[in-house]
Amino acid sequence: MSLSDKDKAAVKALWAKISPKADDIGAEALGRMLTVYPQTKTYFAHWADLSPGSGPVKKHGKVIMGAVGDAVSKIDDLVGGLAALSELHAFKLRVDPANFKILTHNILVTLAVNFPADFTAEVHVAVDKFLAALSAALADKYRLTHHSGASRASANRGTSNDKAKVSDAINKISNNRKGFFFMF
Amino acid sequence: MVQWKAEERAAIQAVFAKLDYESVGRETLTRLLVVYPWTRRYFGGFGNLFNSEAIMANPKVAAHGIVVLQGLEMALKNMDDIKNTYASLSELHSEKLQVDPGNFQLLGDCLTVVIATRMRTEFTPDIQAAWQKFLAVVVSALRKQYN
Repeated sequence: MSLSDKDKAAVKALWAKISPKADDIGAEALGRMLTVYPQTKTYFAHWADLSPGSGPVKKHGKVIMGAVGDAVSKIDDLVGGLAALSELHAFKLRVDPANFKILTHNILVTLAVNFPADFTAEVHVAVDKFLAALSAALADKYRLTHHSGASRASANRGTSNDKAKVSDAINKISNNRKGFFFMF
Repeated sequence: MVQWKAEERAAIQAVFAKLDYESVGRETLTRLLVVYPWTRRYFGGFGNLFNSEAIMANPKVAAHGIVVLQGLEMALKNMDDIKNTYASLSELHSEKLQVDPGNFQLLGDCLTVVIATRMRTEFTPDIQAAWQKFLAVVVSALRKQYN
C-alpha cells in the first residue's frame, strides 16, 4: 500500500508534534509489547529487567523511536534508507518479521494514550500505513541467500566479525543523524 | 477452557465500567472503516461512507457501534463460557454476513486504540494485556462456527 502525499504530510506533521517525547513513546511502546505479547521477550533474554520502565527497556525504546524518526526523514525511500537496519534484523537479530506488526500496534496504542486529540482516524490510517511500509522495508533483506551471515550459528553477542557488521550498520544510520545513537 | 486470574477479571470490568457505548462504539466503527477501508464492503446498506467526516456523522454507523459493544457485553457477562455464548453470533457472521474473520482482529485493534484515547495512562500495560486476552477469546469464539 503506497503512501500518498497526504499520508506523508500527516506522518511528518504528527512526528513534528511528538518528537520531543520520542524517547518516552519508544519506551512505553516497548514496555507494552513485552507485557501484552510475552512471546516477544524471547528476543531480549539477555536483559536483566524486562518490565515497563526498566533501564534496558527505556534505553532500547529510545533506539527504536530514533530509528522510526530517521525513517520519517527517509519516507520517500524506505527500502533504500533502511537497508542496513534490514540486514541487521535479517542476519544478526533474526527477528521473525511477524513481530513488526506487533510492535506497530503498541506504538499506535501509545500514541492514542499520549496524543488522543492528534491521533484522529485520518492520522491513524496514515501512521498505520507508514509503519507497515517501514516494516516491509525492514523485512526487505530477509531470505536473501547470497549473504554469508545467514549460515553462521552465532550467539546473540556474536563474533568480532558480527560486531563489525553491526557497527557498520549503526554507522550507516548515524551518519544521517545528528547526535547520539546507542545500541542495545 | 480459558482461565482468568482475579486481576484480569478486574481489569476487564474496569475497562467496561468506563465505556460510553455511544461514543466509543461510533468512534471504533469509524476507525475500522477509515483505517481498513475494505471493511466497507460489509456495510453496503449504510449510505454515505466515502470519507471520515461522513462516516463519523453517519447515524447507522453510530447505531451499529452500540450493537457491537452490546455484543461484547454478552462476553463480559459470560466470561467463563464465551465460546458457547457466541455460538449463534459466530454462525450469523459466517453464514449470513459472510465476514472474513480476519476483520474481527482489526475491529478489536480499533477498539483498543479508542479505549486508549479515553483511559489514557489508566490503560496500563497490564490492563491492556488483560483486555487483549479478552478480545482474543472473543475473536476465537466468533471464528468457531466457520467451516
